[in-house]
Amino acid sequence: MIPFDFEYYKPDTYQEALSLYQSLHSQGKTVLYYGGGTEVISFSSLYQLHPQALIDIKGIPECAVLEFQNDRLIIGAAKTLAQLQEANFFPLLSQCGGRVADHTIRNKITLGGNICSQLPFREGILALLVSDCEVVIAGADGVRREPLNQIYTQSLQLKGGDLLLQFIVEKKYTGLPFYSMKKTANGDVAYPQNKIGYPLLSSAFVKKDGLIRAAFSGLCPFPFRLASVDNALNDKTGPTQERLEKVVKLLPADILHDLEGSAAYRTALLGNTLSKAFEGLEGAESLC
Amino acid sequence: MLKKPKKLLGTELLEFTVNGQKRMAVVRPAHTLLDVLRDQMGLTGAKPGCKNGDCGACTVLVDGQPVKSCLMLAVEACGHEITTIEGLKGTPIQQLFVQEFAFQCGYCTSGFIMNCHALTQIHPDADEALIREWLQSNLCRCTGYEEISKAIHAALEQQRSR
Amino acid sequence: MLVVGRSIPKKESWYKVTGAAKYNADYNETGQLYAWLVTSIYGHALIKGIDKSLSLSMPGVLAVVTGDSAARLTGPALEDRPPLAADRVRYFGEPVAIVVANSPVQAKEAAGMVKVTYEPLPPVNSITEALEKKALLHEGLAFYQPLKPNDIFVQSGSNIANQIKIRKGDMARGWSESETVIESRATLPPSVHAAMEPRNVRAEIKPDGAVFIHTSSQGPYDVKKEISSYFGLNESRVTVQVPLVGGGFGGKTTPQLEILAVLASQAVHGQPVKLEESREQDFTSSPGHLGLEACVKLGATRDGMIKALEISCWVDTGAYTDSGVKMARAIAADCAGPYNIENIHGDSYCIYTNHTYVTAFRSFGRLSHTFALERAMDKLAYSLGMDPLELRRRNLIKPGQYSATGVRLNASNTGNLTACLDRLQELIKWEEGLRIETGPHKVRAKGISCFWKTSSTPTNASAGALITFNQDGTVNLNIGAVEIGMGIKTALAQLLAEKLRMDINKINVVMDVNTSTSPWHWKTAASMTGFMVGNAVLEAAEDAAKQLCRIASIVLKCPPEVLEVGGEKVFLKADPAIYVDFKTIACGYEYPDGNAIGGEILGRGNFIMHHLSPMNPETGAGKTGPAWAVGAQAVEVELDTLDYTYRILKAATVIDAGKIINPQNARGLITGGMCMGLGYGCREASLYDSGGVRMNPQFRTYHLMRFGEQPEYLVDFVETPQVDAPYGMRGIGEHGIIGIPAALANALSTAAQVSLDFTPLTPEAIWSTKKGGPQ
Repeated sequence: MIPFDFEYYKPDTYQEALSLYQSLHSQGKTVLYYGGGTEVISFSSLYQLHPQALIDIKGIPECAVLEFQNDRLIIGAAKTLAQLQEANFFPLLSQCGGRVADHTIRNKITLGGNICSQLPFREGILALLVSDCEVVIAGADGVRREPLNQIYTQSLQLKGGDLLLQFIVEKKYTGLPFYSMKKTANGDVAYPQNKIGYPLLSSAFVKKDGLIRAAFSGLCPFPFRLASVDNALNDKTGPTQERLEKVVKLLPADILHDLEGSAAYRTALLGNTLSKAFEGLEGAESLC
Repeated sequence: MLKKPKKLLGTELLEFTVNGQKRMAVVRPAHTLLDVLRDQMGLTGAKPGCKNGDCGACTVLVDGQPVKSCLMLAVEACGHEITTIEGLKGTPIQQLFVQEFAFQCGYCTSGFIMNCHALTQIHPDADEALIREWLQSNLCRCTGYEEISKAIHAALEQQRSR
Repeated sequence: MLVVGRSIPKKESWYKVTGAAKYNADYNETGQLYAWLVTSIYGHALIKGIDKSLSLSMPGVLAVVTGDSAARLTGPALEDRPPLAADRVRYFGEPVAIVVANSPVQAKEAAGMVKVTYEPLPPVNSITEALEKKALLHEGLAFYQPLKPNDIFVQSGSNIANQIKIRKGDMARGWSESETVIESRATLPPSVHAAMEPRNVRAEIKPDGAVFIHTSSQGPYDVKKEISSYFGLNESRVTVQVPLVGGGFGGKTTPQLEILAVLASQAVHGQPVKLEESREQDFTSSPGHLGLEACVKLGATRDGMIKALEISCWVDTGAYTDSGVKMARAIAADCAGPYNIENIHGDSYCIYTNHTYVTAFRSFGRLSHTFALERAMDKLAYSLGMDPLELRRRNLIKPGQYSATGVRLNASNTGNLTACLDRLQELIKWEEGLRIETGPHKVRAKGISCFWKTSSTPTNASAGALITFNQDGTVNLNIGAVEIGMGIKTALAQLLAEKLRMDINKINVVMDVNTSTSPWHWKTAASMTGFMVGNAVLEAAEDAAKQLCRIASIVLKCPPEVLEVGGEKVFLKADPAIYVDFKTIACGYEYPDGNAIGGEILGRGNFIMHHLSPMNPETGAGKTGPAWAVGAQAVEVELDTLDYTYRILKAATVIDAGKIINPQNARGLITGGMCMGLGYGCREASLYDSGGVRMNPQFRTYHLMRFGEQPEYLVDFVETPQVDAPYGMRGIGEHGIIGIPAALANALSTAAQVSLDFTPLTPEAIWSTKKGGPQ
């Protein structure tokens, strides 16, 4: 039960959404773009969020696209994680996004919403971080395309009022050999999902041109992919344990230590996961 | 198809399609679908178990897809086909829940049945992994899930042999 | 048998699969107002002030009730709990104020505006801290009133609310006869019941002062008693109604919200008030499941005969005693487990901490105690180099031997545990071996546990049953048992149908309980409902049959003794073709000339416990329940020895159920209990930070077992009749849970080759123990 009121808008175009945002914002209101809304509702009920106006983006055509256009996969920000799984155009994304919350909730959580979540996990982004994804953003200066890796540090660096429209992934990335694994306090999470819970460690690995790229969630207070970590993973001169130690030193923040698990156990899980990823991707080459 | 409201700035009378019927309700923007179903339409089959999307007792179908009605604003559901447990009449999964003793206290049952029913409709060929993925969305504290598993398997089996 | 022993679907089945089943919060009262609780944000603090002015100024707000209007203390055994904290909070989530408003949203919003000023105190966050007196929770402990004299032994100036002693045999002899001695310590955290229906209530005070309460409760008659006593009313002024309950597991056995709702109604001149807890409040404000620490010392001869047991159990009762004092006693009474041990020194303590207070939980403490004892049994077996199953078999208690409290056992009051263990051995394929390496970093292992449980009701616990007839000869059964999901209403209808040899479909069971019209039943708890109410139902059936035969004897012109009932008829034993239908006589018999005799048949029956006695304060001697239910359980796991994740492959239970009334239902009760036990064993715990703040008050962070995680269940029954119970049945509603956490820990200890003496057994906790880290 949400113990306060807000205004709800559902524009038909992104232009309308942007101008709504500007006008509501200029009235001094706390405005949120609203995708699946699961976090907005849940946090508002718990007094942890207090929006005064919501702009539902599910009616914006650009946000509802999910298709290949030429050699690119276009994913609307308002597509639900369940829809992405069902279509399965990008199996690694299906897996990473398909382990968030539970299936019924994934009928509501959108990819855009998951990536802009206040929670530290945002597992949907893992597949995009290793895929040279581009992000389409509508802002005051018009629509722009930006490489995800350039505008993502700890969170998407959006300007006030910027609206996330789409993600674009080149088709060749959607078929890369990959390994992904989620571990929770209660054990390994397979795909399709067989356990519910926040991740102790959720990871995505692909192999491109013989090199491994990796992105992690649950390890630090935000999901990340770092070139330096990728380099360390691909440096096969030392034993696995050494690579692990190197990776741990390169992490962009302290390892999470929370209710679900300690930093030490997360580190141990990272070691096991890296071994399994190496094993899984050993000899694998791209089909594209 | 009912009109989907373009905005809701305060409390208003809205029209919904619930179990095939047009229903009116006075809705404020912050009302969840669960609030409106229970408090205004008298459809109490959907249960509040956590109001946080964690337990699935409030699961209903929106355009045939299972949704936790505590995590959907009522206004979002306008213009969509809403089905609650009250809208299921003698479906095989209901019969099988009775036959397999797939509930004890019954509080989670509406939500489980709605999710099971949607699964049989959308994925009549569901395998064990898919069944598990879907039904993990609902909690039951009384049973050990064995009977629910038997019921959904039997329902899918019936569906396939029909 | 016609009906007993058949898997008859629950009477309310079709209500539950169509949404027609109504639970308490599904109902609303005309003119109803809404209440929302303001709860403590500290584990331990003084309340320096409560400013309700802002809250009262909010739209729709009618009243803000605070602790000064609830000065009297309450509690089912020891009156130590203020319904609303007044000057001090003792746990996170403790109710501090109630806001009453016109709508639920207004109430919740205004609850956020009540400004409570606290002065934090150091919290007592564990049993150890409580015993070290980090803080004293109840300075007035010595002055608290126990409900029964000589029932509770408080230790003033401490955090010990009760101590129960078991002194049996001669310990010096026991130790001297022991060739092997092991010691073991176990730690189990508090947890929550997590019934899917959060606790909720409606209350109204009529103009004449009569109080009407609608609640989700396992103990409506206790609510009536408590409300009348708290508010100084005679019991006839209080009516408590309970519809179907969405799960209880013990958590709805004692009154809490009911008092608050009446206080709220009082504040608005008696208008009906609905008070629903959020899930977070249900987890933190309302009582949970106890935590336990236990030390076990076992001595045995070289061939594995146990000669001595020294056991200390400390129950974490949280901030108030509620049922904690009684569970400490129940643990003491059953402290030897189902083993024949002649020399026992047991101490059981009820300890205050700044955790959420506790109430009854499925097994009434036995699952925690069983964990401690059965871990010790495995360690004894290991130390003797003996098969753990064989060690248990050698020591199983048998007819003619005596329980820890001195009750002489026989087949009727104990059943046949040897048969259970034998069957378990087959089911779980024990001979395969305890530990098998199944692949690189994969190990399969098995663990077992035995259990027993008797009841701990008041010595005068009672139940009634009332049978009335309809004019078509069908029957109504009215009893005070609440349907919380275990199919009790259907089971009781089966007993009645069996006794009257009639069609169960012609029996209408009154589903809701109304304390003004349903016969008294102590409470729906302790797995005693089938036994107590069942006996009352059988007596009522006999009473009705006798009356039917009397009328029929006039109609059929014969003595009543030659008649019998069956098939909704009364007929001549010697010639069933001579009969009269129930419908002709059940509501009076009318002669062809219009004259009439008889009137409605009213069958009445009751039952009261007999030969129960309080436990002796010095030795524990006494009889707390009429019988035990015994059983044996096993769990098989597959452990990954890299990250210590594991799968639960199988879980098995063989229980002596006396007589199975409804096989499919019975299996469901057992597997449901097993699943709950696995959840508690592997992941459930109420977690507190150093300030006593609850960290995981949601299903998102408090993890239950989910669909698909359940193992293959292997369940079987032994049937040794309990001769004084309906058709020989034993209560088994709670029992599926009791030995499962222990069996899981035994299996995982064997798999990981390290002693795992705690729950929850998360992969990290096993990993950490294996590394020798803190746990």
